[in-house]
Amino acid sequence: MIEKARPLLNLWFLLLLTPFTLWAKTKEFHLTIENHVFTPAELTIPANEKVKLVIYNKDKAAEEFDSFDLNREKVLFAGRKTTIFVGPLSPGIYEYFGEYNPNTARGIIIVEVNVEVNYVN
Amino acid sequence: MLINTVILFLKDLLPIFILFCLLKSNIRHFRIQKKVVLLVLTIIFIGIIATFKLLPLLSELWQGAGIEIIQTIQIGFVYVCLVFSSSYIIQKRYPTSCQLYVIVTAFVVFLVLNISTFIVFLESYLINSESAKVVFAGLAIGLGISLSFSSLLLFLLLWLTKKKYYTITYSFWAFFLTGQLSQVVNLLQQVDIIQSSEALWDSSILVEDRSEYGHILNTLVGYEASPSGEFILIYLLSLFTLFIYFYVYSDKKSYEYIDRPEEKSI
Repeated sequence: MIEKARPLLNLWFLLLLTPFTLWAKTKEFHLTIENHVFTPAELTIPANEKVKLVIYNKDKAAEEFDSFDLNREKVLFAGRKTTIFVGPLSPGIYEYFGEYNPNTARGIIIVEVNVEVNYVN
Repeated sequence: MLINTVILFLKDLLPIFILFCLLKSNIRHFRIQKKVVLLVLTIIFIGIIATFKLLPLLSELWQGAGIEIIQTIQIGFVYVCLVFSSSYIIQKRYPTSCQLYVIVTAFVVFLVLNISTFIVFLESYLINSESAKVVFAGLAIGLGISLSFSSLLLFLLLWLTKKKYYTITYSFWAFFLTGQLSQVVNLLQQVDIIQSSEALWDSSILVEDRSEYGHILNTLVGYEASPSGEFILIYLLSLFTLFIYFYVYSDKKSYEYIDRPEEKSI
């Protein structure tokens, strides 16, 4: 029974695990956190496609990038860069914050249909 | 900062209290020898320190996906171990020594995983020595809330077991394990190992992720206000598997510890 179903299971896992990067180059956007403040505080990204956020932590302490809107949560270690993939997202405004310093480290990601990309590498 | 410390304490450490309650209410009539307790505590201590020190390096492995991959392996390991060892719960019999060792190992890995993440936050706050008092106050409040909540949960679980509402007891177990496993989807999506689709729905109007209820529900059952399709797929697959497992094993109920109470030890 299991042997018969194995090709189907393999195909299912392949589909589940295959990232979109095989078909398209992911656009890259950059954020920096310094003195517990994210810059730019407003970042505009294109709608309906996955993008890569590269975040540099220039502080001496770790911070945690957290966003309930984006379902993302990742520790940003001191003096290191971190990568997070987000999307594809519908047009709208998505909040994020630094979980260790939520009063100062806050920002929004604006998702728009026709975006002139400024932060692509 | 006080509130933030409490929230982070609950987010990172409350799952440990809940897992302890689930294990405590289901494993009865057994004790762990002192030397095993000492060994386990030493392993936990070394594991937490080693993980905490290595986290910055791990974060840069596999193009920045190191922590996510390692945490996924750890969560998967805990899930498999606890599912494997949960057959004794369903059958209401004593766990075997092998199952006890597997449970202890899974608990140690779960502890190391959660505490090491929390220590990153503690270190970050304690660098600023002015905030030390506030952090310790937050820790005390977080501990108080966790102890109160877990005491009530343990009381409820013991009462349900005593009344033989095994399906409800097992449902707690199944939803908790599924909630923990489904976190893997978000981890792997944020490093692009699993593809990410748009949220299927948004139930923030009912319970927001950031609210107190959102945090508690997330810990208990893995609640997400706006889950992706992949999240729901893994969630349902896990629940389905666990309940199938439950019904298959529940046919073999032996109720050993009702008929023949005796004490096991490792």
